[in-house]
Formats: sequence, C-alpha cells, structure tokens
Amino acid sequence: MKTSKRKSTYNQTGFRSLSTTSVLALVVLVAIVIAAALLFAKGSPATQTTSTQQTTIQTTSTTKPPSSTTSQQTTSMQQTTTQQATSGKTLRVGIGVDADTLDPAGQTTTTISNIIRLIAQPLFITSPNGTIVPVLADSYNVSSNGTVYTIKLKKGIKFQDGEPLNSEAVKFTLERILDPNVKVPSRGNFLLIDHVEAVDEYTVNIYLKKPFAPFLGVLTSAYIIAPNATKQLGDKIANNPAGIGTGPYMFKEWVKGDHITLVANPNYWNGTPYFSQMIFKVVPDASTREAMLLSGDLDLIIQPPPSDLASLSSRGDVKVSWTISTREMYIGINTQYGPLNDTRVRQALNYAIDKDSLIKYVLFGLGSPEDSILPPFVLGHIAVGPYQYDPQKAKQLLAQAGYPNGFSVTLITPNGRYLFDTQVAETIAQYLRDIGIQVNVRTYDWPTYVSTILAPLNKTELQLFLLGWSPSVPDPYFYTFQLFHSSQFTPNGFNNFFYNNTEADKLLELGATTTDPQLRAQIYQNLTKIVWNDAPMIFLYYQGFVVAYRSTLSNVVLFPYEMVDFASIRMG
Amino acid sequence: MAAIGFFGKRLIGVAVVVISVSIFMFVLLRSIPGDPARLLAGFDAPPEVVEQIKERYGLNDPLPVQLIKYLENLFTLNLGTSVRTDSPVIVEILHRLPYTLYLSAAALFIAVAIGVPLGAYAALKKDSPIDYFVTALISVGTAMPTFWLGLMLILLFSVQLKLLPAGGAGNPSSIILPAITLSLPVMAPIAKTTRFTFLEVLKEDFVKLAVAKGLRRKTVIFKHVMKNAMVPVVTVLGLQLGNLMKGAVITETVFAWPGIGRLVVDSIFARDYPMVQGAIFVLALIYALINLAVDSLYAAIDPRIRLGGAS
Repeated sequence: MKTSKRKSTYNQTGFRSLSTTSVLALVVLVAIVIAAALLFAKGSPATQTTSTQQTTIQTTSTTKPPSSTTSQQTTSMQQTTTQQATSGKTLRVGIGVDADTLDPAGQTTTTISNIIRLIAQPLFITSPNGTIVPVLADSYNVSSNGTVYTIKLKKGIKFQDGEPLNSEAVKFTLERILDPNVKVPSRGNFLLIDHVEAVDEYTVNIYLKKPFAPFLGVLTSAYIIAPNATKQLGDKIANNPAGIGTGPYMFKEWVKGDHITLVANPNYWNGTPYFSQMIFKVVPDASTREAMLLSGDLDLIIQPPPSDLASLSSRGDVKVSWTISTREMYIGINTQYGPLNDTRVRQALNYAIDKDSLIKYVLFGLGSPEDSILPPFVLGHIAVGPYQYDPQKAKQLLAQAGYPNGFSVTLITPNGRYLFDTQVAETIAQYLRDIGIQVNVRTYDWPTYVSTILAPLNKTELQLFLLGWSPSVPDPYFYTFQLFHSSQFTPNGFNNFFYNNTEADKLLELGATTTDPQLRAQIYQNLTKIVWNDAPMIFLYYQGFVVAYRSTLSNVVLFPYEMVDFASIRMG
Repeated sequence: MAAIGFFGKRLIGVAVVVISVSIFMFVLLRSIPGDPARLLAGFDAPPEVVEQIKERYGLNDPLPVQLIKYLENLFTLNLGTSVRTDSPVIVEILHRLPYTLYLSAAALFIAVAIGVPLGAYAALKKDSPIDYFVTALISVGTAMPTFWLGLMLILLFSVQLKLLPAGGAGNPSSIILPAITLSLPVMAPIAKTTRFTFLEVLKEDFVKLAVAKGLRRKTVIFKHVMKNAMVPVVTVLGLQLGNLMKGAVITETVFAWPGIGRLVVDSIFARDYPMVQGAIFVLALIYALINLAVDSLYAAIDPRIRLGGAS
C-alpha cells in the first residue's frame, strides 16, 4: 500500500543522492522532539504545585460513639490519641481514579471524597457501624415539625488559613452548595434547604422547605469551608484548595493524572496528625497497583485485583482487608414488561440464582448475599432473605404463572463498571436458562448504559438490567424512595422497575418525613417486607470493598461506604 | 520559490485535514449515546441538577449552533472548558501532552537505536541462525499485546528485581519501562523494513561495484548500503507515529503515566465533549505536522522529490 509505493519510488531515486544528511536529519528530528518534551515535562507540572501554610495535629479516627438520637445530642468525637508530634512518616496510597476537581462541593466519587475529607470536614460523619456522629458539630436539635435543624458548633476550631469555624462559615458553605453558579453535581440532596441562619457565633439554624428525615445524613457530604480563603481562591479552588478546611491534612500539590499530596496540619484541633505527608498516586490499572504495592512503591492500595486476593493474603509482607460495602448489586426487573409483570415470575427469577456459588466462584468471595433491600449498616435493615437457591420451586412458580416452558428475555449489563459485571450477568443468564428462560445478554459501555436505563416507560427497552446502587448518603431514604416510589418513574427519579405499590408509596412518604429513628426503622422494616415479596429485582449481593496494604501498617479501618479511615492508620 | 509552493500547499493540506477531523469528531461524539451532564451528576440526580450542568456548558443549544461555536472558537485556539474538570481544555492538554511526547520520543529513540542495527545485521547474516532469530523476534514483537508486555516487565523489574519503579512519573527512571513497552510494536516494523531494504540494496550493482573495486566491507555497509536503505525506514517511521499514539493509551494506563492518551480515554468515558474534541484536535495537528516533517525530510534528502512536489 502506501509504504510499498513510497518504498519503490524512493529506492530508485534515493540512493544516488542519499547521504549522511538523511541520517543526520532524522537524528536531529528525534533529538528536537526529545528536547522539547523534556523541557515541557519539567516546566509544566510544576505550575500545578502550590504549598500551603503550616498548622498541627491528629486524626478524625472514627471510633464508634453511641448512636445519635434525634434531639439534643452531645456526643463529641473526642479521640483516643494523645498530643504528639507527627511521626515524620509518609503514607503512599494507590487509587484507581483521578480527581475531576478538588473543590469539596464538586465531588462525584467516593475515592476522591475520601481524600477531601482529610482536608475539609463535615458537621457530621457516618461511622463504620452506620450511626451518624458529630465532627464539627457539637450537638443538634430538630424542631418538632421536622423543618428546623439547630446545630451547635464545637468552639475554638480554626480553618487551616486561621479563620475561625463559626456559624457564618456553615452558612457560607451551604449557600455556596445551593448557588447555581457553582458546579455542584450532588446539589439535588440539598435542594430542600429553604434558608440558613447564623443565630450566634456557634449556632446555626437550617430551615427546610418541608420535613426531610435524612437531612442529617445529607449534611455528612457538606464539607465546611473557610469563607475568606474560598472567596480569595475563586476558580482556583478546583486545583488548589489551600487553607480551606479544618481537617488534619492540608493540600500541598496535585499533579493531574499522577498524584495528590497532602501534608499534616500542625494546628489541627483534634491532636497531631500521625503522618507528616500523604501521597495519593493515581494508578488506573488494578494489576499495576498490586505490582506497586509488592515492589514497595505504595503502602496501601484501593481495590486490588480480586483474582489475586488469595495469593496476596498468603504473603507475609502484605495484608488484605475487606468489608461488605453499602453497594447493593441487583438485576433490575421492568415490572411492566410482559411476563415480568407477574410477581410469581419475579420470585421465580430470585429462586433460580445460586447467590452463594456466584459470590464464591465469580467474585472470589468478595460479596455477601443480599438479605434485605437495605444493607446491614443502614437504619431499618431487617434480614428477610435471601431467597434460597431452589430451581424446582422456581420452575413451579413459572408454571403457576402460565410459563411452564419459560419465555425469552434480554439482560443488559455494563462492562467494567462493577466488579466482574459482565461475568456476573453471564452467570445469571445461565442460571435462568436452567429454569427454561431464554436469556439474551447484551453488554454496553457505561455512558450508553446510563442512557438506556434512564429511558421513560413509554420508550424503555428494559427487561432485565444489572446495576449497583450505593447512594452517597447511606440513609434508608436514598436506598428506597427514588427506586420504589411510583412518582419516581424514570426520568423523574430512578424507579426504572416501574414499580407501583400504593402501600409501599405510603411507607416511603412516611419514611421521608419521620424524624424519630425508631419509628423510622419500623417504617423501613415494613417496607422491606413488601418490596422483598414483590421482588422488583433479583436480589444479588452486597459488593465487597477491599484494600491491600503492607503489613507494616496497622489500624486500617474501612467504612462500608467504600472509604478508608486514612487518618487512623499507623505505620511500623 | 518552488519550496514555498510545496510547503504552502502542504500546510493548506494540514489545515484541511485537522478541520475535517475536528468536524468528524464533533459529529461522531454526539452520535454515540451518553450524556455528559447525567454522567457527572450520577444516575440518581434530579433532572433539574442535570439541566443546570447542561446549561453551564451550552449543551442545550441546538447541535448546529454548538458546532459553529466550536469552530469559531477553534480559530482563536479556544478549545473550550472541560465538562468534567471545569478547567480550560487547553490547560489540561498542555499539562498532559509533554508526558506523552516525552514517552513517545523515548520509545521512538529505542525503536530506531535497536531496530535498525538489528534489521541490518540480520540482512547481512541472511539465512543464518541469527537471521532466523531476529525474524522470529520481529514476529513476536509485532504480535505481543502491549498491556501484557508491560505487566511482565513490571513483574520482573519492579516486583522481583526491585530495580525500576512500576508506575507513575515521579522518578527519572520511571520512563524506562513504559518506553521499552511502547517501543516494541514500533521497533518490530522498523527492524523488518531495515532487513528487507538492506537485502534489496545489497543486490544493487553499485554495491557489487564497490565490493569489486576493493572497498573495505565496513565502508561498503556504512557508506553505501546503510545510507541508501534508510529512506524506506524513514517512511515506516512516519507511519508508525500513529501506532505510537495508539500504544500510548495502553502504556499510559498500565504504567500510570499521566499522558494525554489516558486523558482522552477517561474523557470519552465521561462523554466530556470539549476535552475529547480538544485533545483530538491537538493530536491530529501534531500527527499532520510530523507527517509533513517526514515528507519534507525526503525533499531535503532528494531534490527530485521536492521538484515533484512543487510542480
């Protein structure tokens, strides 16, 4: 083709006049490119670097304080660590994704939120056991009609730039999240705020448009930032969030695509931070992350390749730690599509899947069968399942529903979004074929998949679809309302089961407004029984969240919502 | 005068190619399903939040309007704002591009420095075990998947021997493994072409004459054969630049190298239209310019080609 044509032409004409010039020219070309690249590579990444001020101290380790009750709560996050100097050590962590922005209000992934939480802290956080505990807040009170949240702040806390943490800062943060001129992808959770009032230096009132029980949970994703520092930074906050938080670590530098570095805040209000520096290396490939852990380039990696967990665990120099996460994996069922309209058919699908084998052989053990519509750590969790593997019963149910010879159905799945998603879908298809259903599996890339699953009822092609649900706020409301309420059919909400049950609707509305935790738990327990029986999905498993680290590390605590308590880690 | 004509024509050609690629990319991106605002906000975000993001980046405008705006901006070299990071696209690209250029240049250097002597030596020892060995090596080099080679190198040099860093770009020695990995698929065709053209040139009368008139073997090889065999190699080199960019995507992912290849892939998965468009524009421009440079290299080498181009 092109090559050979040129070759023949130049071969004939070339040799007489060809001289050292040709070779020289080539060498010069390569040399110029190398030189230019070297110059650039040296020059440009440095422009991203910015250092911040100094300051002091300790970790937001989430010990498990008593669970919060609605009114007057004074548990504070006083830590066990005593005052000391930083260890001078550096923690190097391998993460799979880079940040889009370091603006605390712009976060879209748990991985980067996990880093942001070290810089800027919320009023409350969700502890590993699922209870909401105060961080910057000291106590709170909810008005009897559920629309006014009065929050008292801890006193004497300073931002990294020296500004005091006060009610104005909280007001500023929340108003900024609501400001349409600021890009806040998670704004939806905050839209019920009517206005915020700074009552006195350390008291803030948040007025809601209507009662919203999960609001305290929503506040766990609002990282309080310093008004002056933020205003001065302007757009630069996205790349250089210097001095904006109250957290144990301060932003130092972000080399995009490569790493984010934090340094200890010497003036931290809650003890000296243990590590003097934390480096988060962006390593997109799981196998490379693993190699970098083994070669000693990293101390801890998020999500090592699951297939290697057994060999990693057997090594002396590495430890593996995992927890059931708040991510529920399920096969969604379009309850208004043909045979899937029949509850017995949907139950049959549930009985047809051997969840235990699926987890053991496809997921390398990294999961736990779903026993409820809510994960174990979430308020209102009650074990009503799992549906036991029983293909005979599944076949009977199909026969009762009038499909003794099965029917044909399409199962769609994203590729590479969740742990072994495509393999899981193929395995499930096989189980369904075993009870006589003809399953056609189709695989999509994630952006196409999202468009497909959000289609409205009159346009949807959905029959069965694999999905993982892990709301940013682990409150029962976010696991249920958008999914199961009949007003939430896609694209308004995320009920693409097109599930419609008036009794469930009532409980969902009640759960959204009832602030008393015990009453709320009961509501969601009742809801669980209804939805579980109606089976708008094939309940699969809670996905595991796993990290691997060098055995010199200790006290590695995982949050079920796919985060690591980096501040509590010790080394050596 | 003739030279100006040649370059003028070729530069217009470059502009046409780059603008066509940009328009094609614009249309292609929007014809595949996916919504950048929805992907950013998450599938559970309320419609109003998604709308706000669309509005912010002008994604609600009719497509022809978006295209015209895009082309208008292109002429002032304004590549727009990334939907994902909210920063100017040009800033993001200028940050990542040097890494890729550096990696590609290093890989190209290795490919030429090893590929050419290897091919030449094999040609001189035609049908010997060494020739068979090199030929086999070329086949393996062509067929070896980049990601696999990369992982094997990491396992050997980083995990087992602990000699070189496995990933990242923080260390001066970080470049070695990715550059070797990226060079192999380029080195193989270079060695192959060198071997082939060497054999051709060796058959030429002037070589026989040179040998006959008693020149030393070394002189014949370096002064007569090597020089004349290089033109096709330069051609292959030009064609391999595309391969380099393709390989860079995978190599950068395996070695956590913060280059533009990874940026493009990440941006495609986020449907970050401005970023993908901007990166493709820059890459197309570089590719076209380097091709122009390679072609000019012939012209510099052989006056006949230059005259041919200008007439």
